[in-house]
Amino acid sequence: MAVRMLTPEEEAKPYAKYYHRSLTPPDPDLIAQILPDVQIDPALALPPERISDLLDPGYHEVETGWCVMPNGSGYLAVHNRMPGVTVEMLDWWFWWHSMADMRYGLWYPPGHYGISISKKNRAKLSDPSVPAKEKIYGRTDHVVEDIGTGAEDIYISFCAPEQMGFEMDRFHAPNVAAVYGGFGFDQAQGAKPSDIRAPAIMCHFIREIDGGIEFRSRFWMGYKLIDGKPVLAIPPGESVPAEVPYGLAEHNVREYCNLKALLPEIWAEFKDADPAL
Amino acid sequence: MLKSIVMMDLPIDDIAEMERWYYEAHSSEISRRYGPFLQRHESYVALHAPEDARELGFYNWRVTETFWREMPEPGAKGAFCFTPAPVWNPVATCTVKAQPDNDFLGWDGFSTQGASIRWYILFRYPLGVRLSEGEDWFLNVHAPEVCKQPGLTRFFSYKCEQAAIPLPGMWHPDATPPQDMMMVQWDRVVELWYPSFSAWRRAVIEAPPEYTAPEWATDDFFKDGYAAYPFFKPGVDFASTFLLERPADEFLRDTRYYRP
Repeated sequence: MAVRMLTPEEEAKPYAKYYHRSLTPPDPDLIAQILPDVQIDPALALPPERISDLLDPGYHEVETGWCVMPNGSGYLAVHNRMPGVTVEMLDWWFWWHSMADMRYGLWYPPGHYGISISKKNRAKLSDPSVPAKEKIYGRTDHVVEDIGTGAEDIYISFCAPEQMGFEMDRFHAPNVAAVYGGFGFDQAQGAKPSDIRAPAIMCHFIREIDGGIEFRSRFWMGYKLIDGKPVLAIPPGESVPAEVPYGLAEHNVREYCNLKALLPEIWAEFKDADPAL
Repeated sequence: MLKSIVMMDLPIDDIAEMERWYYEAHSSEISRRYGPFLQRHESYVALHAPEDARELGFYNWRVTETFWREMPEPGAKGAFCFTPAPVWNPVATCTVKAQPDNDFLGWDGFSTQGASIRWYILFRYPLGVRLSEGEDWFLNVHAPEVCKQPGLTRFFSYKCEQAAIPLPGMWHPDATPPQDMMMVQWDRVVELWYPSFSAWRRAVIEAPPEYTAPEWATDDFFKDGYAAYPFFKPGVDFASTFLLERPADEFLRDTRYYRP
């Protein structure tokens, strides 16, 4: 996958150095669990209706892997551990990166090409009086991303945990430290009006561990999130192509392995800087 | 009870062949095979709309509404494949509940008060707009303003089913409607009724009420945003046609089905 060339204006930004830094290699243990021809047993996938099972202590039988479900949906799970990363850093990252193409790009330059937000959301992100979580929940990002299947336009709408269907009476430490998730639609770039806007539900479930945090990521491809409930939008007999959940699982390992190496440094340098820098 | 809607557009040169196929083969096959599941199977012919109406994602041929007592399972299920159409044509299709979700205007009148033409619309919110935010604008901002259109006599709307609800039956693997002619993702069906095309023109073009544009109409973030009424890009997020009150065909009553 190609890396986008920065503009002269972008090269002049103080965080351009992170864009040019060598990629942190993906965790070999995780990559070994994500192979193009090895799917997990669908019976071990977490159904989106049981998203609150993530609040249970311990781990699920499958924390990393992917499959195409019998109902045609795509499923993937990835368990990234991030020593040295805190929820405060993530709260900052999940709004700060949305303000400029290069910020999104430095997360994973070979696959992250562009990002945009609405004027209303830009004003909110630029306002230092708005708490970080309020800058995340309710925001929709348009990203241009390649997970290995070609560049796509992806619209990600972040939601508060209660809007994702979590049991809020159990939504507290130590069960959970934060959730970054919501729903989205993607289309290949240059899509025709008749092309399917492919839906998915995304959940990055964060817990604190010794010395850092862990990401327990789940994606349910083919599902919409309507009024806090998952709705399967794939007609019977059709299915998400296997390369899509596989590609995203592999991409997820690569992008978060790179981010965990960069984030403590970027956060320390720019957390107090002008958001519009 | 669910109602499936199929709105069709045609190059006019294909109309003779397509009408023959529609009557002789397709509607017959639907009614014969799925009659036990059907409550109604009706088709309306699109009116010859004026030019300015045709710029609003106009579909020129037919709208078929099918009311299902029970939705048959998809797949072969003992039936032959559908007879393929002589040409494939653009289709916009969705499924709604049998009754409208919102009745905004005209319910307190009487059907004897005057005949109407029906502006029959399918729309979806542009990419980047959350369904909940789009609905908030449509229900609480836009619909009350539309009610002020001069001459509008009826206004109601259905929410489209967001789950995938496939129509029954099978096309042959070598004769399947091409995906790039099928518009299948919609959020709402809207009906706006007027006494005439002149009344429609006055209400929509010449003397419209003042509208509050949604966020997507004025922010470049929404690549398919559309700044003018109806605030949905025609042909992309907006498809429409004009129908009369009475269907041209009620297939469960009018046709003897002879194809097995």
